[in-house]
Amino acid sequence: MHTTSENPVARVIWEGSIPIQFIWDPTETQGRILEPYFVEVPRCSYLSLITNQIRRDFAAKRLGFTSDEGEMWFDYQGIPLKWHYPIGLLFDIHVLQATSMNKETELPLPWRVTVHSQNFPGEKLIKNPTLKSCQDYFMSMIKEADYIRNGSTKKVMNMSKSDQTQLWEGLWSKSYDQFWGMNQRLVSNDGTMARNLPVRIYLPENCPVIQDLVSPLDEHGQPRTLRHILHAAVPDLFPLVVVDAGLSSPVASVLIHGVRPSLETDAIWAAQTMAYPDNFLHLVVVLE
Amino acid sequence: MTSDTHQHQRSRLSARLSYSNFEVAINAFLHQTRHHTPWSYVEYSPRRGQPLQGYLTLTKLVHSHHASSGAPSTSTGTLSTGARIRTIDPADQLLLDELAEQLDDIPDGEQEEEADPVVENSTSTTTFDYLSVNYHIVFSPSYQVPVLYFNAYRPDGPAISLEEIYESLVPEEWRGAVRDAGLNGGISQQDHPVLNTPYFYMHPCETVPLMETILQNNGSPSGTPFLENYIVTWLSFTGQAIGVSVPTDMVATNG
Repeated sequence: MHTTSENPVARVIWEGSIPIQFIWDPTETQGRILEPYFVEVPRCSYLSLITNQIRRDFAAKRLGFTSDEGEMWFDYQGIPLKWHYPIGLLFDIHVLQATSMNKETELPLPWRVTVHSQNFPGEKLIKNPTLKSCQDYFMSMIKEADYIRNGSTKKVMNMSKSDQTQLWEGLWSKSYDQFWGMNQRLVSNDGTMARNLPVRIYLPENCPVIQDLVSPLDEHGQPRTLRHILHAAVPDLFPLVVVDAGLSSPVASVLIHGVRPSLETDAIWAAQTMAYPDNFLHLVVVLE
Repeated sequence: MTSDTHQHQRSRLSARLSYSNFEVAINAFLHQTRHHTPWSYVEYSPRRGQPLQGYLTLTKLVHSHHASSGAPSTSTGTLSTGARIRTIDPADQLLLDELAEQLDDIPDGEQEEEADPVVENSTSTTTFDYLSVNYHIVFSPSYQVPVLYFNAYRPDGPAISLEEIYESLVPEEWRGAVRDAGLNGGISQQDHPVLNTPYFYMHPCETVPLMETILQNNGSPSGTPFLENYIVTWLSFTGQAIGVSVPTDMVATNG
């Protein structure tokens, strides 16, 4: 079991960030051209956590709008961005996964995201993207991950209120030690083997998210790899045995936190070390 | 089924369902309710190469307790919806018109009292004081239980807010408890696992303890099959809070 000081991969993931250029919806600025707001955002953060910064910046530019935080929303190339997804996951899906499919070569950075304060698309986005809602969703994912590991949410529910809050506060205050001080117990499951691993797999083109049960061990009791997990979910794209490895190129690969991990990575290790703060391995499948 | 199979089935009984158990359970439920409520089975392909899966849907008309008919409520605070006007698909409109005509024929059971929209509508031909509510029973692979998802729409299109959900679907005596439950068994929104758009839902974390209790008490040797009554039992608890339930006579004969 790693202690927080021995977890360099988790540390690097925590510190990963994306430069974003927030552009105000031109139809909402009464014809004025506003300077975009540039900010480096942690991949592990959420749009709701930077909404106030953005509003302050645009207010400073005397935009004069009076929307509340529950009305703001974001889109990338016309697609509303799910505020309850971590920002790194949104980038992996909307930019990296989509880019690969279009065979574009240049990575579009900074990420150009449009900000809106009106006409919240309630049929596409969950309502009320406030800080409180974001915290609720975050804790809900952590409880679900706990349930997947243990078959009950007793562990999280038995955490004191201040311990539960420590997770959220560690996240929004960007304090690795505060967050991981509490999270280590959860992801390592107090040293016991998880029944199943919290994994979500995202296929291109808005396929239903794959959230089948993922066992950490195979039928012989051996630890599984990412390849095994992906093969079980999408066998056509991830064959178990790679024939003529030197000659054929893979049909698909997987992204997490913007990188392509080796498919031979141990799944238990990945679930403990490479999970997002919400305790899930959000794996984005990229077709080659 | 032979009694051997029943025994085998009982020895593997669990409040948690595999997907194939869920399929058995919802098909039994469809059969049981075929004369009472028009639940339908919707089939979908989770992804290429995988077997088809399914979930159940039901559309109901529910009398809206909303004060002014037609216009969305002006909500205060953080529950402002900013809802867009949503045009109703012609197929949905047809369904709504048919349901409006058949309202008198649907047995009330323990459902919310539904006003006849034709009577409500005596003074105006364009505004109805009802909501169209879609209920879905979908399998949760994480919790391994059925989950009740729902959305409600005004007839002129806009989806309704959480406040209107409480006013129109949740019995008054339940509202406090449901609100307090929040994400632990109460109502919140989530992406529908198949459609990937926002739906209200009843959080499933209370379902397993509930069904385990019932399973423990359902012990008669020749007893009614737990799996085949799973949905009826579960829905009679879960659905009450939001306006869908099972007619009492059904629960009695199968309980």
